[in-house]
Amino acid sequence: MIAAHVLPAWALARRELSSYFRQPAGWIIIALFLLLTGVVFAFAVLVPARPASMRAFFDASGWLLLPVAPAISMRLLAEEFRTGTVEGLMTAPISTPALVLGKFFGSVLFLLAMLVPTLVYPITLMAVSDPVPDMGPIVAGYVCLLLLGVLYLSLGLLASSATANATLAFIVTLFLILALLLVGTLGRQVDGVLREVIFAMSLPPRLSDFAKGVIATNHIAWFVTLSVLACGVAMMFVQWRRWR
Amino acid sequence: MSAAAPKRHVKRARTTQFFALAGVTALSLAASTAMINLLAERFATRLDVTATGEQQLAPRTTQLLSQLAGSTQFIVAADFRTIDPRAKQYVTDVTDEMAARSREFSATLIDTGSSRGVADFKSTIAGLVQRDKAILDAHAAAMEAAGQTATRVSQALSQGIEPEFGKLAQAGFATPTLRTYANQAAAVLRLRGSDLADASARVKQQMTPDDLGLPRLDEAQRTLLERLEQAASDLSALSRDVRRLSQDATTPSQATQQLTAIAGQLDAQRDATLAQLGKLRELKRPDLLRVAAALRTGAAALLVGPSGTDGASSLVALDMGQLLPSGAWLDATEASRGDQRRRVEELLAAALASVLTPSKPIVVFTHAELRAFMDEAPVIDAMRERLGLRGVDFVEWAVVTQDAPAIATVDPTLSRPVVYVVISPDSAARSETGAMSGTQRAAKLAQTVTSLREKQSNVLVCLLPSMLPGFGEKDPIAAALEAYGVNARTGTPLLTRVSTPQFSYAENERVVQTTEGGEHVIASAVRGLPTYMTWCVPVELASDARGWRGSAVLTTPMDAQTWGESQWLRVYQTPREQVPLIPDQPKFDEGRDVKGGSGAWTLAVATEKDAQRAVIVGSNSWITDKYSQQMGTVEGRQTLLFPGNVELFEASVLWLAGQDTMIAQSPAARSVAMVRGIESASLTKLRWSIVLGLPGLVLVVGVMYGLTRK
Repeated sequence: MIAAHVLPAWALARRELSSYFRQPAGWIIIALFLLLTGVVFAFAVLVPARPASMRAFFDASGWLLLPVAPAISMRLLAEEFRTGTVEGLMTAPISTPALVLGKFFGSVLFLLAMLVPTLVYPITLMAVSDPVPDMGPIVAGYVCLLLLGVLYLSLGLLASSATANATLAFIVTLFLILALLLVGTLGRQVDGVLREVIFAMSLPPRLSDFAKGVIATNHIAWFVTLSVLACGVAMMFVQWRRWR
Repeated sequence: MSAAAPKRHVKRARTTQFFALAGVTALSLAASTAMINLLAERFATRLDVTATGEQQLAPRTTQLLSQLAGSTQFIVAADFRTIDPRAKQYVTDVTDEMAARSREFSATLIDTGSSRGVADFKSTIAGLVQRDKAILDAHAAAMEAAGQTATRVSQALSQGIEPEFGKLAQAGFATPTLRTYANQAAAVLRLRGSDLADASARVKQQMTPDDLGLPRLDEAQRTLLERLEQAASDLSALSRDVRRLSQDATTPSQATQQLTAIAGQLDAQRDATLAQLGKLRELKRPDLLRVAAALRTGAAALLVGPSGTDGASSLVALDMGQLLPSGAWLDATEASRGDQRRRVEELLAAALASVLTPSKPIVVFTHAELRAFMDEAPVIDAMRERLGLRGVDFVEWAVVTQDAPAIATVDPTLSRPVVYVVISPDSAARSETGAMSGTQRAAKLAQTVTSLREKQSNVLVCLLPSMLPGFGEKDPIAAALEAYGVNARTGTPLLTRVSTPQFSYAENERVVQTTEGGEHVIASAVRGLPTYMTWCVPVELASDARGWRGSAVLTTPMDAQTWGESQWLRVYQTPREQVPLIPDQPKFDEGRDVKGGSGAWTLAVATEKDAQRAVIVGSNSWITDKYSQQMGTVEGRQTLLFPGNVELFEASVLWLAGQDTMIAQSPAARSVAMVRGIESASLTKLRWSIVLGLPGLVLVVGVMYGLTRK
């Protein structure tokens, strides 16, 4: 039963991943991400006689993912809807969850491929620091970056499943991410339960804990459940299209 | 028409069914998400993955533990119901690790708020009584001996001297004045004799051990001191009066002889009393008494070191507020678990160092300012406080106004090692009316340095550039240092060309980080730690070392942007923030300035000859709180930005005090890793290879992948 979903999803994920690398855009996105994070690392982290901390890199990467993740996810389903290629998938013996998860994991694998080269940065930092920098915050930072990327991509997938217009999907995704980043500011204006709810939805305090080197189970649960929720709603949108 | 209607109906029904199902699914998903997050918040586990020593002790703590030669017990008595559990956890985390590292170290936490507390308290004291039995017995024996002296003096007063006064009062030749005096003196002696007899009896009672097995030695000593002091005072007064009376012209000649004899007896008893008083005062209070007294208060943290044969002080009390801070304080600091743990370790390491240091050094802060200023302008308070935790005392010596430092105020026996920290004056300072100029004060300080060297004293000299070499004269302090085998280039401080988009200017401040070489014990303590220095003067070990053996302890790499500038005075006299605005910035001049090659500038050296030692540092503001205590946030926690300053000072003082084995990097110093000093050209290459190399490589791989596919 599970294999019936997993195997097609895995095949779709691989196909999705290779599609990124078949086009120059995929390579250019990675190169641009590395160029920007490289500038941050080289000039904000690699400073002699300053603390050997990757915090500046992680802080910046969180924001650099803001345009990158929607750019990766906007075409996931919207492009298939626009070009009509989705019909082939809809009629293929592949379930809606497998279809959506295959697309989603394909984009997550691309995100991983984008992050892997950045491991050069901590390795470089270790080589030029004394004593060796604390690996805890670095590990926590990467865990955070991955969870953040997954959340952004799931929101992108949701937006992409709701429209056939990739640009609109990009804008909606960007809006959703900004809402999570800035909702805390709104929370300061209200009191009571609403304040608690708004703060619970806020992203920055969670990022701050990871940056300190604290991996908290509640934060992981928050990232994972929101991602699952977004994927679940995306599945419903696709199912609706399939049913129509 | 009739066929389409059922179709529409069926479609509407299916649509309704779909949206109902989708709605239920979406609601279920949302509810599950909310529920999971609520549960996750409620049962959150926070894993601190910082590897900065969560379970590791600092090198200094490890070194201190390895030096423990006897049982050392850390005892905390507190009502733990009122203590934040996190604070207690930090303490137990550290003590567990320390106990695992050394068999001689143990920790006992006495919860005075629980029913077990009293039992724990008694068993702890019983253990210590057993351990220090010999010391306690000796102390009790001394007390009994003092009690016996009191008895003897009491008997001598009431049975020997008092009857003599009685006889005198009854004598036929006695004048009314003499009679009155003799009666009064007899009454005083009767009273003192009775007091001493009473004291002796009380001491016997106080020697009986209490429920903890401890004799009340403190009370016995207090009783004896009080009564013996009173007796000695009265006997002195009586002896003086009796002699005066014996020499008085109105005193009958028959009485004179008797009065002289009585005075002799009074003197003998007074001397016996004073001798016993002296012994009592010199008696060192056994630490165990202090431990018991402190623990009886119900809130104390003590480190009880191995006892010496004389019961010498090996006890350190720790600040309860610092050791077990309140929950509100812990929340307010937002410090990570690792930082809190390090704070506790630092406290315990300082206490261990204090227990282990046989003789705590005294730092004589020696300067040539016009008046003593340390109490008025607390420029090194944090440094004093830090060393104070290790029992180091500070004494100020303004050589311009004081002939010698008042060391006896902190060390009456003059037995502790003394380290002179000599701070160069500002040679460019103008003289106030009637006061010495900067150059005159420098000359005075140079004399002091020479005098200290001749007296075999150990010195830490902190230099400041001198304007005298600029006028073709020799800096007197640099000249005095030549006798230590050190050449200090005080006429050419280091400047570095700094370029920003707006300015290009000469910078005198630098962060020094020695990463290579430096086999010296001080160098090992500061290796890798950033040290903030201003107006650095290169110091070199002279080829003609005059028997001194020196090592570099602090170096900074030479580079193309840094040179020793001879025309530095204008920059020196300009406020730092205005330096970039100076129109004609100093530039390297081959004829008069000094440029380095490919090696390193030496900024501090340690040198020794026989038992004499000296550390010369080519900067003088680095020990001030302004530079040594700069804090910053690293990985979300507050930490010292330049731990090298504190470590250099502490290691220098300990080395100069001959306590080499106490030197190692402290828990606070190791809390943050730093990016090493990298040569400017290498850094540029590294940066550009990261910024352009990595993305370039990805693009090349992409192109190759595309070509392969075609």
